[in-house]
Parts: sequence; structure tokens; C-alpha cells
Amino acid sequence: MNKTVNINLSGIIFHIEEEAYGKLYNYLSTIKGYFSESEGRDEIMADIENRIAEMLSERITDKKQVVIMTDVAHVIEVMGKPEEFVETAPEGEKTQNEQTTYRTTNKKRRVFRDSDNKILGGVCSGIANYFNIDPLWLRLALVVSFFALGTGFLLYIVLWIVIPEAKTSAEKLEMRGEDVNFSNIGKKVEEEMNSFGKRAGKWGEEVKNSASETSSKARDFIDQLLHFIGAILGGFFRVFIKIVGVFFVIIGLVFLVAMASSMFGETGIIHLDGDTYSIQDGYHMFFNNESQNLLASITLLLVVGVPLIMLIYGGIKMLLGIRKSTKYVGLSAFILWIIGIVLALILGNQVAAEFSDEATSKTVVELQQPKSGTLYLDVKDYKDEQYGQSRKKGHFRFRAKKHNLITVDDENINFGFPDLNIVRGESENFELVIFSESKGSGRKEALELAKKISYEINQKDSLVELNSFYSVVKTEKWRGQSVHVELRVPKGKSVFIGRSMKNILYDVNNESDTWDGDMVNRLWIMGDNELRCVDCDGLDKPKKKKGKKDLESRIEKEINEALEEKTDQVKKKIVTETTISVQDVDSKK
Amino acid sequence: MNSENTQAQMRKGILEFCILSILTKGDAYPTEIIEKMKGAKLVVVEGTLYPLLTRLKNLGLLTYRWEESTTGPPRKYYKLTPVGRQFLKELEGTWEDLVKAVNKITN
Repeated sequence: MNKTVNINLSGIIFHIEEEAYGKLYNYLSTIKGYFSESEGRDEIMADIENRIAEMLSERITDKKQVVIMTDVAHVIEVMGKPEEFVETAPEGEKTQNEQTTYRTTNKKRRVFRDSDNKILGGVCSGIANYFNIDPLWLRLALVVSFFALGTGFLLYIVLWIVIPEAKTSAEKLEMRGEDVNFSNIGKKVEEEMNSFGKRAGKWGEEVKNSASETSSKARDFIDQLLHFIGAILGGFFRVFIKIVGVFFVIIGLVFLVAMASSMFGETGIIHLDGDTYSIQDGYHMFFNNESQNLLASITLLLVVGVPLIMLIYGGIKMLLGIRKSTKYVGLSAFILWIIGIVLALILGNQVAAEFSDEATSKTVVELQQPKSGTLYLDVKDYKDEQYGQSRKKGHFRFRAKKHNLITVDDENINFGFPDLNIVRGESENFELVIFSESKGSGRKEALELAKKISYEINQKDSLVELNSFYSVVKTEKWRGQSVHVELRVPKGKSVFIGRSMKNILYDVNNESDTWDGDMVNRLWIMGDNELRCVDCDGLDKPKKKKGKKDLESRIEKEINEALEEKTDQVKKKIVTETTISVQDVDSKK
Repeated sequence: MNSENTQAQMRKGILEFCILSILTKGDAYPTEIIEKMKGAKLVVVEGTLYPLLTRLKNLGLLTYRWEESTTGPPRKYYKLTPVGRQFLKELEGTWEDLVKAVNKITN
């Protein structure tokens, strides 16, 4: 049982099987593609359809009412393949003067691959024929571009697919037709319009002959006018299509080159602090092994590269006016793209699995207790000067509002910012606890990564300097590592929160519900549960100048004192392994 | 330059000549023309004919009229115009000269 469709061929209705219809439709479209409008395409097509209708109606009887595949195959056999009959379409001879107009419009040069003079696919020689230049130059340019990250190679492959090979002798003649260059595109448009006018005129005559009323003259004129306008619009449209084609090719090439060089070279678009990086430089942070790296590269090529290649493909087709469609190109590109999407999902899944578990490593830092009962908190930034001096390739940073968010140096990647919370402590002493957190494929892996995070705290007498960044060794994977610091303050003791603490304070509870950003540069005392501001006269108002001065001088004094007592200076570099055993670790989940 | 190329060139001129010659013996529609040509082993596929006929008609060498058919859609009967006849005469002269010249050289 087969589905049939109804078609109208030259005014006769045929029931035709769907498959046979597809074949017939393709056949007619292909033929149509071989003729330009100025050659009288519509008329030729009408004649051919007419003949096909005749042949089909001969093959239909009362008993066999449906056109089937063999009928269509028979029709195509009798009519011949389009290549075979374009072969005899007039070309080239220059004997008759009357033919001049006709010939110039017909002798449109088309791009074919020249398989007679090929080295690889005949792309260069074909294009050289089109522009009437020596293929040697194109070949040289191509070889040179092979070294430019193989972009020439990609382009060559695309062209190889896009440009049809000159198979029949007619196509070979067309390949060497009239010169096509930019200066005579305008001429061509003009010619096309002229031939339209002529055709319109002829058509008008026919109308006049068949309907010899006086009114036909007026109708004739209107028809001619419409045809003329159509021709002008058609000409503009053609030029417009070519411009769009050029645009597509340029855009596609630019992005393709950018992508290829970002992936395989170090001349790409990824610039960080004046150096250029390949996408692959960052792979090791996310992916576990070479096969994942490879998967990532393939995914990127397919998902981004395939649409770009199709853009170039479409652009070239528009530019060169190639009508012959290679239908499998679009389909296979689409399939490749879908494969890319599937690979992206697989890869995403694999990477997500690396984030499926999390663990926390806890480190208690023993603080030197301040004599005054007040602890001064401040932040130590990543040393900008040092970064500037020692900066070389591989060093870069991302900054936001002058704060270093990510800084990469010789050994580490330094992330900003850790979080600090200040809570009431149960003991008599100030205590500092560092929670290093990480995700990982399992708890064990997560814990290992968490322990490898390094975070430094320096104490100079009563001044505690917390780093504004925590560091992960460059060769480690990035698995969402983070650091939370908890300062436990005994009841009745106080902390002064330095001005630059703004970035690391995180949701610190206090009696006045003051926002973290407004807590800085003030002295806070620990109440029953929460901090209470000592020197805030109502937080909405700006602080008194005097008080501020007082406080600043107090800090300065303290710091100077601390510096003087160099002998007492304690510098603590906390590495988690040294202060805590695995058993002490309390892990989330 | 390969032989295919030359053959295509040669056949082209001859085909037009043949179509015009066939039409001197009376009006015909494409299928009739093709039958005669096939008989003379000049053309293999029918599709060849339609672009040629359209071209000759556009050049003013042919005209056509529609005639109803019992089996299918109406047929286009082609007829030589006076210009066409004149043109054919010239072609015949050229053809004879050519045959003579070619024979002279090849024999």
C-alpha cells in the first residue's frame, strides 16, 4: 500500500505515488537549475512538463490509474539527464550577428572544479578558470595558508564539497565561458534586464496575436511594464544575494579562523593580560584525562565549527550562484551538529559527576590572645607590585573594581574571596577556624582537594591579617574549592573590623542588623549571642569625624607597636595537614 | 582540450541545422522531431530538443501553434518562418562547403 499525491502537469491531473512524485520533483528542479531565466527557462520547463504529461497519460489506463516509480523512471530515461541535454545548449560559437545579445546572456560563466587540471580536487584550477588567472598563484596561496593553522585546508575542503565537478563537456565549456569579474557584474545585470525586456516584448506579441482586441494594447503595455519592473528588482536581488554571500563567507571565515587558532594555536582570540592562550590551556582544570580533552575539542569543533562551515558553504553558493544542490551536505552537517550536542551532554555529565560530592576540611588556628582584649582584623591582598614585576606568560588575573578575583602566578591559582563570619565563642579565648570546602567525584576525592587548599593568616600581636585569597596549586583540578573562616569571639571581648574587610565579611550577625559593608572601620563587642557596635551613633548617619580619627590613630599605634616588637612577631602559615588529622574532619553530607 | 569538448561543439551546430531541415518537410511537434532524429541516431534523449526549439523560436527562425491532442495535453506544432527558411538556406550552403572541405582534407 502506497500513499499517492495529486499533481497537475500541464493542466492534467495525475495520481502519483509519493516516492515517484519525489523523484519527478527532483528531476524537474534539477533541470530548472540548469537554465537561467534569460534562456527562456519558464518556456522550456513548460514544454518539458507538457511532454512528460503526454508520456504519463499514455501510460495510464482504466486499470492502472496511478503513476508509479517505473513510469517516472521511463520518462526520465526518454527525456534524458539534465547534463545530457544542457550539453547541446548553444555555447561559444561566434558566427551570427543576431545572436550577440542572446549569447552574452547565455554565456554565463559558472564555477566548476576542473578535473582535467587537478592536483587534489581541481578546486584551484576551477576557480582560476572562473577568474581567468593562473592556478599557480591560487595553489601558492593555498600552500601558504596551510601553514596558517591549516585554515586553508579547511577552506579547501569546504570548496571541494561546494563546487561541483565539471563532468560533461557542456559544463567544461561553461567553466571557461565569458570572463567574470567585478567590473562586469553591472554589465551582466543590465544585459539580464535587456533580455527580460525582449522576452516581455515577445510575450506581449503573443498576447496581442491571440486576443486582437484594442484593449490588448493597453494590457500589453502594463504587462511589459510589470516585467520590466520585475527584471530590475530581479537584478538588484541578484546583486544583493551576492553581497550577502560575501558577507557570510567573511563572517564564517573570521570566526572559523578565530576558533581554530584558539583551539590549536596560541594566536587566538583569548587574551589575558597581554598574552594569548589556547582553549586547551584550560582543559586540565576541568577534565581528568586526555580522552576527555579530546572529547572537549571534538565537541567544540562540531557544535561551533559545523555551523560556521555551513555559513561559509551557503555564502559561497550565494556568491557563485551555484544552484545545483547537494542535498546530503545540509543533512550530514545537521547530523554532525547533533552528534556534537550529544557529545557536549556526555562531557557535561562526566564533568558534573566530578562535582557530585563535597567535603569540608576543618582547621583550628591558635591565635595569640591580645592583651587589650581587642583583636584587630584586616585583610592582606595579593601583592600587586610583585605580580607586575614578575609577570610572564602564564600569569594573568581577572579583576573587578580593583580587587583581584583570580590571580594566576607560577605555582598557584589564587581565588578571591574567602568568607568570614564572626560568632560568639564558648571558650575564654579568641579562636579562628578555617573550613576548606571542595567538590569532587566522591567524598574522599573532595576531601583531598579541600585539604590541598592553602590559606594564610598572619598575626602581628593583636593584628590579625587574613588573606583576601585562597590558593589552589595550578596543576590541581578546579572543583569549586572555597574557604570559609569563622572567628569565635568570647563574650565581652571586642574586635575592630578594618576598612578593607568589606570583601570577605559574609553575613555576620549583629544586634543592630547592620549590613556587612557597613560593619567595617568600627569596633564591635561580643554580646550574649551577637556582636554589638561600640562606636556607631546610629548607622544611617555618617560617623563623627573625631571618632574616626581616633580609631585610625589607634590602629596605627597598634601596628607600630606590633612592628617594634619584631621578636614577638608570630607568623603562622597554616597548612591544613599540619594542624589537623583526618579524624577531626567533619564533613558535610 | 579533449575530444568530448570538440564533439559537443560539433554536434551543437548540426542539431540546429537538422531541426530546421526536418521542419522544411512539414510542421511537427517535438516528439515527431525527436523520432526522426533518433532514427538518424543523432540525438539520444528528448530533453535536448526543448532548449534548442525555444532558442530557435526566440531568434525568430520558428513559430508555433497549439493543436489539441487525443491522448494528452495540447501539442506545440513548430513551423519555419521565412527568416528560418532563409537561415536554413545559408546553413545548407555552409554545410555543403564544409563536407566538401572536410572530405578533401581527410581523404
